[in-house]
Amino acid sequence: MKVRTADRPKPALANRGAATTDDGAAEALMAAYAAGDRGAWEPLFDRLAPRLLGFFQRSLRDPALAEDHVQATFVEMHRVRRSYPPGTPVRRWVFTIAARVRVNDASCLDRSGPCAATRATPPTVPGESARDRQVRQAIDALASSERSIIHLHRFERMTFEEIAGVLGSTEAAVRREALQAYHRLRERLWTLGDDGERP
Amino acid sequence: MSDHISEDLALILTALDQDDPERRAALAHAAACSACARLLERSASVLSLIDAQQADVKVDPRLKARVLASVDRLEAQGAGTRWEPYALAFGALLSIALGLLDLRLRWGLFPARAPLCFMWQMMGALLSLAGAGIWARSWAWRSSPLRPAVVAMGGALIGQLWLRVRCPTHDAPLHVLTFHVSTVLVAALLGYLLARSTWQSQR
Repeated sequence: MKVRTADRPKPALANRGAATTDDGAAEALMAAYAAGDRGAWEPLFDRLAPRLLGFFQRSLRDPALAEDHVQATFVEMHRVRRSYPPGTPVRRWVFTIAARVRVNDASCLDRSGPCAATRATPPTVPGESARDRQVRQAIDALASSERSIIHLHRFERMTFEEIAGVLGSTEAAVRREALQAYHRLRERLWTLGDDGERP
Repeated sequence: MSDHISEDLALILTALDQDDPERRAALAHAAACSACARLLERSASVLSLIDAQQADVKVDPRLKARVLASVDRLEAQGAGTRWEPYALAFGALLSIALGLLDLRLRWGLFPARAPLCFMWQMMGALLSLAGAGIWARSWAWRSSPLRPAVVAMGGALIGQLWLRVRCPTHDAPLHVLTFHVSTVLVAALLGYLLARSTWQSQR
């Protein structure tokens, strides 16, 4: 019997950890930006900002703070743009800056601090099904660092090695934390996989 | 992998990177074991639900404008730091040179004159800052906090020039160095601190 891992979105699965045509275009834009071409800023922003905003929204659970972090990331990116090594995947380079921005926000350093404690998950989102809500709440129940890893792993399709590079950690540590997170997700979502439905 | 896949590990194994040896071993085992294949299938289904959480994030145009303004400001600030420190150093040397122009062998600090000298020079600094704020606001205030320092120093230098006429002790080197030159430096510092506090309050 063949295992149906192909249920996962195929193009995204194929892209995990691999450079894509889109990445190539982003690299060219980033190289131009690093060389002083200000015209490259806007297309770069349009490509990267939604990804960064999604990452910060997921890990911080505070829309206003997420926007502040996107701003801080682009400012930092501008500051260090000349250090961009040509040919480096832009996504990985930018997420490394984003992760640093997030860590440097002292209010979010402590997982039990204001970021985690006061920013509660919204109980309902308009138009959301009960199943989707359950999945969202299961992800939101993870620790902030676990959410970051799961986000980069599932939605940015990064490998554990790439995530370790982004977070300034080791592959083993990232893998260990990811496994913990997946274990907790399994505890909360396993029954949902039994109904045979596909989103 | 000859052992069966436990329910506990099925999701994790499915989620692992494609080329992970444990994942590949699990897939190889499941190819010949229908029970484990079902577990992995169920895991894939759960992961699909998680993947479906990837929202289409829309970026508010106001955020884009805000970020662009920050980047512009940073760029102007970066460009500004190229000349302002030199201008400040030149201003300090010019202030000393002005004092030396009228150098006489006349000793004494003449502190009683100091408040008036300070007032004239600070008036020059404040008028310069006010003028820059009115006529060249974006040039003077939205780039680098060093630029208002240069503006204030320029005003204090004009005040020092005026003191060559107004201050009867402008030929006493100790008085000039202690009060006139130091006021030029104090004016630059005040311009810098004023600009910094304005920037911080705007954030």
